[in-house]
Amino acid sequence: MSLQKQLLRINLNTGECKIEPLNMDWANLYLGQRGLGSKYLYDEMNPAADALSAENNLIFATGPLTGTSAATSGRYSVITKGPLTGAIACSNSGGKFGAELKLAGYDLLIIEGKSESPVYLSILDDDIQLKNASHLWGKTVWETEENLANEFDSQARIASIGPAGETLCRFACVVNDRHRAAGRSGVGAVMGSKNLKAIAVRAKKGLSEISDMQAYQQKIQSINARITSPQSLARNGTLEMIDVTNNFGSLPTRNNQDVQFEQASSLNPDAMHATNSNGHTNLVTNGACFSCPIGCGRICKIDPEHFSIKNKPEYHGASGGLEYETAYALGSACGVGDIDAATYCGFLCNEYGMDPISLGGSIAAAMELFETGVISEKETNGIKLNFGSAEALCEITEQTAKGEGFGKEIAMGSKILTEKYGHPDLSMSVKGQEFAAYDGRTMQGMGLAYATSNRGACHLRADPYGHDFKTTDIEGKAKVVKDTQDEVAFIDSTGLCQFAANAGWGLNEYLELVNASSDSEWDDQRMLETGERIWNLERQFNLKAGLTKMDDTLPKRILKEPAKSGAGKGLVSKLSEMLPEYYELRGWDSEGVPLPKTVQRLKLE
Amino acid sequence: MMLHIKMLGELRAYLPSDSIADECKIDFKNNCTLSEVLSQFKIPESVPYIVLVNGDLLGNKKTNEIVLKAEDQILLFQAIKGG
Repeated sequence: MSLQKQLLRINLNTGECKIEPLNMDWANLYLGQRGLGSKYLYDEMNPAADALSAENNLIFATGPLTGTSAATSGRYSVITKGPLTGAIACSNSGGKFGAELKLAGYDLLIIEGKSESPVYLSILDDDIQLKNASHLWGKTVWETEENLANEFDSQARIASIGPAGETLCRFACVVNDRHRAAGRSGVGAVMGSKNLKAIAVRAKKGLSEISDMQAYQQKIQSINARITSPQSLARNGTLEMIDVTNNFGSLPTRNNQDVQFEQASSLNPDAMHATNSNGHTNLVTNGACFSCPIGCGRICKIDPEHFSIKNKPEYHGASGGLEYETAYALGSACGVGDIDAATYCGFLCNEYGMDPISLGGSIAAAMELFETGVISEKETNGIKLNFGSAEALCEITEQTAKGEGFGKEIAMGSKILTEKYGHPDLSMSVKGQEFAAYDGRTMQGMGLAYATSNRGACHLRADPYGHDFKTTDIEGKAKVVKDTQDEVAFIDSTGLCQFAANAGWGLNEYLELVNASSDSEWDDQRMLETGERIWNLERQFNLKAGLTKMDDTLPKRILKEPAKSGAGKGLVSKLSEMLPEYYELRGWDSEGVPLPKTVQRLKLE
Repeated sequence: MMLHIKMLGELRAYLPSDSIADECKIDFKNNCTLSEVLSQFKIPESVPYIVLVNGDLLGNKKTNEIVLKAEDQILLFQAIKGG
């Protein structure tokens, strides 16, 4: 058993820090991480509460495999009610923080209430303290990590918010290890609303519940050996996808007005490897999270001669570079084919604590408002917010990071921004969360996955990729989306990374690893039922929060405006045909509410 | 007739050595089928991939039913996921 069987509960109203036994009945039903964290959230807070109020809880959840020697076991999730969406938020991060939290002795960390003044939480195994963080308030993620390394422990792993979280930017994230982030849905704003600046963890305890360590290690190593083809991911990172989607015609471009970007080759892996006319190469090396043999992370440098950092030597060093989603959001979504500009804006996202997907999606919506004359330089304080302008992209990103000027409006997310100016149809979002880097017309399954995702539009809540790249015909897509949503919910509850499935693992490897780490037997049926239970629990949270069937939809553009090119040329999303079938497969009524027999079968009451 | 072949990601390994980046241009006999062209690249059966011809999916057609014409663009890629 690789669960620690205990959780740490922090009440910021009272300052109480309490270690509690883990509810093992719930762990048997929800496994860990996403599933178990969601169960605690659902049972312990009112889903109708304001996401930025003291009533909201903030849960850091590891899985049974987090911190073990299993490959890709560095994952943890931040679970809360999302201020961007009003829905359940579950944001997954890698790096080394999650493993450190687990090895300090905790499966979960639950933060309740709100501190009167800024604090940070230090954890050294059982030595848990809330400390004054007034001197850290206003500092960036990078400054905060340096400060805490000096004043707490140089080996500590730190998760913190930057100024974006403090100013309640609706898509603020929690950043750990300088450039890994629980990025989506605004979980960093919830942390900011609680006046919690950072969590610093130093573990000396390790895993203590494994009875036969030698047999356990042998089993794990045999499964790790099945990671087979990481070379391409190590060389190209997730950026490899950009050539696929651009050629296929599913790369959202200029706020989804187009599905192919004429400058995609300026943002692809070859561009990252190329040496430019100044003798500069963007990619320095690849990087890996805890116990990961793949290393899809990018460590990059911006050309020192690039306008964005010309007089800013603090940005001349190497840091976390572009991933596929960042390249889309800070590239094609805004019509900008400038790898250095996108890298700079990505650096700012890590440094100030913002989700680059929602940032780019919100800027893209603002660019369309600007180009159609709905807003002008009067609203943007002089910024010419045209598609394709790298200068405008950098300037508005700086303003958003610092909560200044028109950036304050971008920081509310594209839904609130476009509603304010009378054009809500221009927000490319679901439940208020901006699209990821796949167009739902060419990839019909992804469109359904966005519409039904419990945390708003997301590319990691289902796995319709294989089906979507083979056919635009919608037959079978509802089942693919439903089944893979359940599979992914299970994987997200293990402590392992979904990307291992790009490097040789299948569902069976995840299942075998859970079995190796568990006292009870897990088979296919239990795995998929657990995923389904988690999905339905999230759905129930959202229904209690006030969301309805009306929130399971896509922007008018995707439903009415045909894709202009690519394999899906001429298509709009056929969501209205897929959604009833999806509800039926889920065991929900026509309003999207789980039927009593579904609730009973999944032991949700 | 000349055909443009592009292979993305790990499939690049199956392109001829004189290819530029992920593309090559190869002379094939007139009216050859897609199946005949693909067989030239010795991609193992264990390596799955998706084919587009001039940007279009094949639909229900089999590769030996698709007759190519000069300057056709053939794209091979793998259905990776995530991002």
